[in-house]
Amino acid sequence: MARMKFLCDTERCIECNGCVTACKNEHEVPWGVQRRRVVTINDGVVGKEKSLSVACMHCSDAPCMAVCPTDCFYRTDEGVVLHDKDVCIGCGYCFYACPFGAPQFPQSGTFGLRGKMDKCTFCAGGPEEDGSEAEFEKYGKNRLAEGKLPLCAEMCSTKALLAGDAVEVSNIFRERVIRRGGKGVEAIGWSTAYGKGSADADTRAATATAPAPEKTGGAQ
Amino acid sequence: MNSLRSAALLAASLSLAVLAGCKESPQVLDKKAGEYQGKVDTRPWEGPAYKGDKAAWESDLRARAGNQNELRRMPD
Repeated sequence: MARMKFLCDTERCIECNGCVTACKNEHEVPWGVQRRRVVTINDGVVGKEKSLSVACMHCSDAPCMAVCPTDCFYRTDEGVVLHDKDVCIGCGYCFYACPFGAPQFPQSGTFGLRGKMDKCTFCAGGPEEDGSEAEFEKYGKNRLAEGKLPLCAEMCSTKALLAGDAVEVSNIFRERVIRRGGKGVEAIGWSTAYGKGSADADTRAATATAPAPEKTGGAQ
Repeated sequence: MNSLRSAALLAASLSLAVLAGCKESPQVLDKKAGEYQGKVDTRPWEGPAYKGDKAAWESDLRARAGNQNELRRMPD
Protein backbone atom coordinates (compact mmCIF):
# COMPACT_ATOMS: atom_id res chain seq x y z
CA MET A 1 0.00 0.00 0.00
CA ALA A 2 1.27 3.41 -0.97
CA ARG A 3 2.18 5.83 1.81
CA MET A 4 1.86 9.32 0.38
CA LYS A 5 4.38 11.96 1.38
CA PHE A 6 5.68 15.35 0.35
CA LEU A 7 9.35 16.23 0.24
CA CYS A 8 10.82 19.61 -0.66
CA ASP A 9 14.40 19.65 -1.87
CA THR A 10 15.72 23.00 -0.65
CA GLU A 11 18.76 22.74 -2.93
CA ARG A 12 16.45 22.96 -5.90
CA CYS A 13 13.61 25.28 -4.86
CA ILE A 14 13.99 28.59 -6.69
CA GLU A 15 11.05 30.31 -4.98
CA CYS A 16 9.12 30.62 -8.24
CA ASN A 17 5.77 30.02 -6.51
CA GLY A 18 4.69 27.78 -9.36
CA CYS A 19 3.38 25.23 -6.85
CA VAL A 20 1.31 27.90 -5.10
CA THR A 21 -0.20 29.08 -8.37
CA ALA A 22 -0.87 25.54 -9.58
CA CYS A 23 -2.66 24.70 -6.34
CA LYS A 24 -4.79 27.82 -6.30
CA ASN A 25 -5.77 27.37 -9.91
CA GLU A 26 -6.47 23.65 -9.80
CA HIS A 27 -8.73 23.81 -6.77
CA GLU A 28 -10.09 27.31 -7.32
CA VAL A 29 -9.06 28.16 -3.77
CA PRO A 30 -10.84 31.28 -2.52
CA TRP A 31 -9.16 34.63 -2.03
CA GLY A 32 -7.17 34.79 1.21
CA VAL A 33 -6.63 31.06 1.50
CA GLN A 34 -3.18 29.62 0.79
CA ARG A 35 -3.15 25.85 0.87
CA ARG A 36 0.49 25.94 -0.17
CA ARG A 37 3.10 28.67 0.16
CA VAL A 38 6.80 29.13 -0.35
CA VAL A 39 8.82 30.00 2.73
CA THR A 40 12.35 31.40 2.66
CA ILE A 41 14.63 30.88 5.63
CA ASN A 42 17.83 32.80 6.35
CA ASP A 43 16.63 35.37 3.85
CA GLY A 44 19.53 37.45 2.57
CA VAL A 45 22.24 35.46 4.32
CA VAL A 46 24.71 34.50 1.64
CA GLY A 47 25.09 30.76 1.31
CA LYS A 48 22.46 29.99 3.89
CA GLU A 49 19.29 31.19 2.23
CA LYS A 50 16.92 28.36 1.43
CA SER A 51 13.39 28.27 0.11
CA LEU A 52 10.91 25.51 0.54
CA SER A 53 7.34 24.86 -0.41
CA VAL A 54 5.12 24.19 2.60
CA ALA A 55 1.60 22.84 2.92
CA CYS A 56 -0.13 20.15 4.94
CA MET A 57 2.44 17.35 5.13
CA HIS A 58 -0.16 14.69 5.96
CA CYS A 59 1.76 13.77 9.09
CA SER A 60 2.04 10.21 10.29
CA ASP A 61 0.88 11.25 13.76
CA ALA A 62 -1.11 14.33 12.81
CA PRO A 63 -1.53 16.78 15.72
CA CYS A 64 -4.57 18.33 14.05
CA MET A 65 -6.38 15.01 14.35
CA ALA A 66 -5.49 14.83 18.03
CA VAL A 67 -6.81 18.26 18.97
CA CYS A 68 -9.95 18.47 16.85
CA PRO A 69 -12.92 18.75 19.22
CA THR A 70 -15.37 17.47 16.62
CA ASP A 71 -13.15 14.67 15.28
CA CYS A 72 -13.64 15.74 11.71
CA PHE A 73 -10.27 14.39 10.54
CA TYR A 74 -9.55 10.98 9.08
CA ARG A 75 -6.56 9.31 7.47
CA THR A 76 -7.00 7.39 4.25
CA ASP A 77 -5.35 4.05 3.55
CA GLU A 78 -2.77 5.97 1.52
CA GLY A 79 -1.79 8.08 4.53
CA VAL A 80 -3.52 11.25 3.38
CA VAL A 81 -5.02 13.32 6.21
CA LEU A 82 -8.42 14.71 5.19
CA HIS A 83 -11.37 16.24 6.98
CA ASP A 84 -15.12 16.49 6.65
CA LYS A 85 -16.16 20.12 6.28
CA ASP A 86 -19.71 19.27 7.29
CA VAL A 87 -18.42 18.36 10.76
CA CYS A 88 -15.75 21.09 11.12
CA ILE A 89 -16.86 24.04 13.23
CA GLY A 90 -13.93 26.30 12.32
CA CYS A 91 -12.67 26.53 15.91
CA GLY A 92 -9.03 26.91 14.83
CA TYR A 93 -7.49 24.41 17.27
CA CYS A 94 -5.86 22.56 14.38
CA PHE A 95 -4.16 25.76 13.28
CA TYR A 96 -2.46 26.09 16.66
CA ALA A 97 -1.49 22.41 16.70
CA CYS A 98 -0.09 22.22 13.17
CA PRO A 99 3.71 22.64 13.03
CA PHE A 100 3.45 23.74 9.39
CA GLY A 101 0.67 26.34 9.69
CA ALA A 102 -1.33 24.41 7.13
CA PRO A 103 -4.95 24.92 8.21
CA GLN A 104 -6.56 27.94 6.57
CA PHE A 105 -9.78 29.64 7.53
CA PRO A 106 -11.69 31.52 4.85
CA GLN A 107 -13.94 34.38 5.84
CA SER A 108 -17.55 33.42 5.41
CA GLY A 109 -20.92 35.06 5.86
CA THR A 110 -21.95 38.69 5.97
CA PHE A 111 -19.83 39.58 8.99
CA GLY A 112 -16.63 37.91 7.79
CA LEU A 113 -16.81 35.14 10.33
CA ARG A 114 -14.16 32.44 10.38
CA GLY A 115 -15.33 29.68 8.08
CA LYS A 116 -14.66 25.99 8.05
CA MET A 117 -11.06 24.92 7.85
CA ASP A 118 -9.47 24.44 4.46
CA LYS A 119 -6.14 22.75 3.77
CA CYS A 120 -4.15 20.79 1.24
CA THR A 121 -5.86 17.51 0.43
CA PHE A 122 -2.93 15.95 -1.43
CA CYS A 123 -5.29 16.45 -4.39
CA ALA A 124 -7.41 13.63 -2.94
CA GLY A 125 -10.70 15.50 -2.58
CA GLY A 126 -12.74 14.66 0.49
CA PRO A 127 -15.63 12.61 1.80
CA GLU A 128 -17.95 13.24 -1.13
CA GLU A 129 -18.54 11.27 -4.32
CA ASP A 130 -15.31 11.18 -6.34
CA GLY A 131 -15.26 13.81 -9.05
CA SER A 132 -18.60 15.27 -7.98
CA GLU A 133 -19.43 18.96 -7.94
CA ALA A 134 -19.89 18.83 -4.15
CA GLU A 135 -16.41 17.42 -3.73
CA PHE A 136 -14.87 20.07 -5.94
CA GLU A 137 -16.73 22.88 -4.22
CA LYS A 138 -15.70 21.81 -0.72
CA TYR A 139 -12.30 20.23 -1.19
CA GLY A 140 -11.09 20.90 -4.72
CA LYS A 141 -10.18 18.48 -7.43
CA ASN A 142 -9.60 14.79 -6.75
CA ARG A 143 -6.55 14.07 -8.89
CA LEU A 144 -5.60 10.98 -6.92
CA ALA A 145 -8.80 9.27 -8.06
CA GLU A 146 -7.74 10.07 -11.62
CA GLY A 147 -4.41 8.33 -11.08
CA LYS A 148 -2.49 11.59 -10.84
CA LEU A 149 -0.24 13.08 -8.18
CA PRO A 150 -0.70 16.53 -6.59
CA LEU A 151 -0.39 19.24 -9.21
CA CYS A 152 2.01 21.35 -7.12
CA ALA A 153 4.64 18.60 -7.38
CA GLU A 154 3.88 17.67 -10.96
CA MET A 155 4.10 21.34 -12.01
CA CYS A 156 7.31 22.06 -10.10
CA SER A 157 9.75 23.29 -12.74
CA THR A 158 12.91 22.21 -10.91
CA LYS A 159 11.30 19.13 -9.38
CA ALA A 160 12.20 20.46 -5.94
CA LEU A 161 8.82 19.44 -4.61
CA LEU A 162 8.28 15.71 -4.73
CA ALA A 163 5.04 13.92 -3.96
CA GLY A 164 3.99 10.33 -4.01
CA ASP A 165 4.66 7.03 -2.39
CA ALA A 166 7.29 7.33 0.35
CA VAL A 167 9.51 4.71 -1.26
CA GLU A 168 9.48 6.40 -4.67
CA VAL A 169 10.04 9.86 -3.20
CA SER A 170 12.95 8.78 -1.02
CA ASN A 171 14.48 6.85 -3.92
CA ILE A 172 14.48 9.99 -6.06
CA PHE A 173 15.86 12.16 -3.27
CA ARG A 174 18.54 9.62 -2.41
CA GLU A 175 19.76 9.44 -5.99
CA ARG A 176 19.97 13.23 -6.17
CA VAL A 177 21.84 13.60 -2.89
CA ILE A 178 24.38 11.01 -3.94
CA ARG A 179 24.89 12.68 -7.32
CA ARG A 180 25.54 16.06 -5.75
CA GLY A 181 27.95 14.66 -3.23
CA GLY A 182 25.76 14.61 -0.15
CA LYS A 183 24.78 18.27 -0.28
CA GLY A 184 21.32 19.22 0.96
CA VAL A 185 20.64 15.92 2.65
CA GLU A 186 18.43 17.49 5.30
CA ALA A 187 14.83 17.29 4.14
CA ILE A 188 13.33 20.13 6.16
CA GLY A 189 10.05 19.15 7.83
CA TRP A 190 10.36 15.47 7.01
CA SER A 191 11.12 14.26 10.52
CA THR A 192 8.56 16.65 12.04
CA ALA A 193 5.87 15.24 9.80
CA TYR A 194 6.81 11.61 9.51
CA GLY A 195 8.43 10.82 12.83
CA LYS A 196 11.61 11.59 14.69
CA GLY A 197 14.59 9.81 13.27
CA SER A 198 12.76 8.62 10.21
CA ALA A 199 14.46 11.14 7.97
CA ASP A 200 17.88 10.20 9.29
CA ALA A 201 17.04 6.55 9.10
CA ASP A 202 15.69 6.90 5.58
CA THR A 203 18.69 8.91 4.50
CA ARG A 204 21.10 6.50 6.10
CA ALA A 205 19.32 3.57 4.52
CA ALA A 206 19.22 5.43 1.25
CA THR A 207 22.90 6.23 1.15
CA ALA A 208 23.83 2.80 2.44
CA THR A 209 21.91 0.82 -0.14
CA ALA A 210 21.92 3.09 -3.15
CA PRO A 211 23.84 1.90 -6.19
CA ALA A 212 26.84 3.92 -7.27
CA PRO A 213 25.85 6.71 -9.67
CA GLU A 214 26.40 5.79 -13.28
CA LYS A 215 26.85 9.33 -14.49
CA THR A 216 28.75 12.17 -12.95
CA GLY A 217 28.20 15.83 -13.60
CA GLY A 218 25.65 17.50 -15.78
CA ALA A 219 22.82 15.86 -13.91
CA GLN A 220 21.65 18.94 -12.06
CA MET B 1 -57.05 46.30 8.56
CA ASN B 2 -55.75 44.66 11.72
CA SER B 3 -56.46 41.17 10.43
CA LEU B 4 -54.75 42.01 7.16
CA ARG B 5 -51.66 43.17 9.05
CA SER B 6 -51.58 40.11 11.27
CA ALA B 7 -52.00 37.87 8.22
CA ALA B 8 -49.09 39.61 6.53
CA LEU B 9 -46.99 39.26 9.68
CA LEU B 10 -47.87 35.58 9.93
CA ALA B 11 -46.96 35.01 6.28
CA ALA B 12 -43.66 36.82 6.71
CA SER B 13 -42.71 34.88 9.83
CA LEU B 14 -43.73 31.59 8.21
CA SER B 15 -41.63 32.29 5.12
CA LEU B 16 -38.69 33.20 7.33
CA ALA B 17 -39.07 29.97 9.28
CA VAL B 18 -39.23 27.96 6.06
CA LEU B 19 -36.21 29.76 4.62
CA ALA B 20 -34.22 29.17 7.82
CA GLY B 21 -34.25 25.47 7.11
CA CYS B 22 -32.75 25.85 3.64
CA LYS B 23 -29.12 25.82 4.74
CA GLU B 24 -29.47 23.12 7.37
CA SER B 25 -26.93 20.34 6.99
CA PRO B 26 -27.12 16.95 8.72
CA GLN B 27 -25.87 17.08 12.28
CA VAL B 28 -23.97 14.42 14.18
CA LEU B 29 -26.30 12.91 16.73
CA ASP B 30 -24.24 10.35 18.59
CA LYS B 31 -20.75 11.75 19.14
CA LYS B 32 -18.06 9.27 20.13
CA ALA B 33 -14.90 10.98 21.34
CA GLY B 34 -11.78 10.03 19.45
CA GLU B 35 -13.65 8.56 16.50
CA TYR B 36 -14.08 10.12 13.10
CA GLN B 37 -17.52 11.69 12.96
CA GLY B 38 -17.83 12.55 9.27
CA LYS B 39 -18.98 10.82 6.15
CA VAL B 40 -17.19 7.75 4.83
CA ASP B 41 -14.89 8.42 1.89
CA THR B 42 -14.37 6.09 -1.03
CA ARG B 43 -10.93 4.83 -1.98
CA PRO B 44 -9.30 6.56 -4.94
CA TRP B 45 -9.43 3.48 -7.17
CA GLU B 46 -13.14 2.97 -6.51
CA GLY B 47 -14.13 6.01 -8.56
CA PRO B 48 -15.29 6.11 -12.18
CA ALA B 49 -11.72 6.31 -13.51
CA TYR B 50 -10.51 2.94 -12.21
CA LYS B 51 -13.73 1.15 -11.22
CA GLY B 52 -12.07 -0.76 -8.39
CA ASP B 53 -8.91 -1.74 -10.28
CA LYS B 54 -6.42 -1.09 -7.51
CA ALA B 55 -3.46 -2.62 -9.36
CA ALA B 56 -3.93 -0.30 -12.34
CA TRP B 57 -4.23 2.71 -10.04
CA GLU B 58 -1.07 1.81 -8.14
CA SER B 59 0.80 1.20 -11.38
CA ASP B 60 -0.27 4.59 -12.78
CA LEU B 61 0.75 6.39 -9.59
CA ARG B 62 4.10 4.63 -9.56
CA ALA B 63 4.71 5.74 -13.13
CA ARG B 64 3.74 9.31 -12.26
CA ALA B 65 6.05 9.30 -9.25
CA GLY B 66 8.88 7.94 -11.39
CA ASN B 67 8.36 10.76 -13.88
CA GLN B 68 9.43 13.20 -11.18
CA ASN B 69 12.93 11.83 -11.48
CA GLU B 70 14.41 13.54 -14.50
CA LEU B 71 17.67 11.64 -14.01
CA ARG B 72 15.94 8.45 -15.12
CA ARG B 73 14.19 10.16 -18.00
CA MET B 74 17.45 11.32 -19.56
CA PRO B 75 19.00 8.92 -22.08
CA ASP B 76 22.32 7.40 -21.06
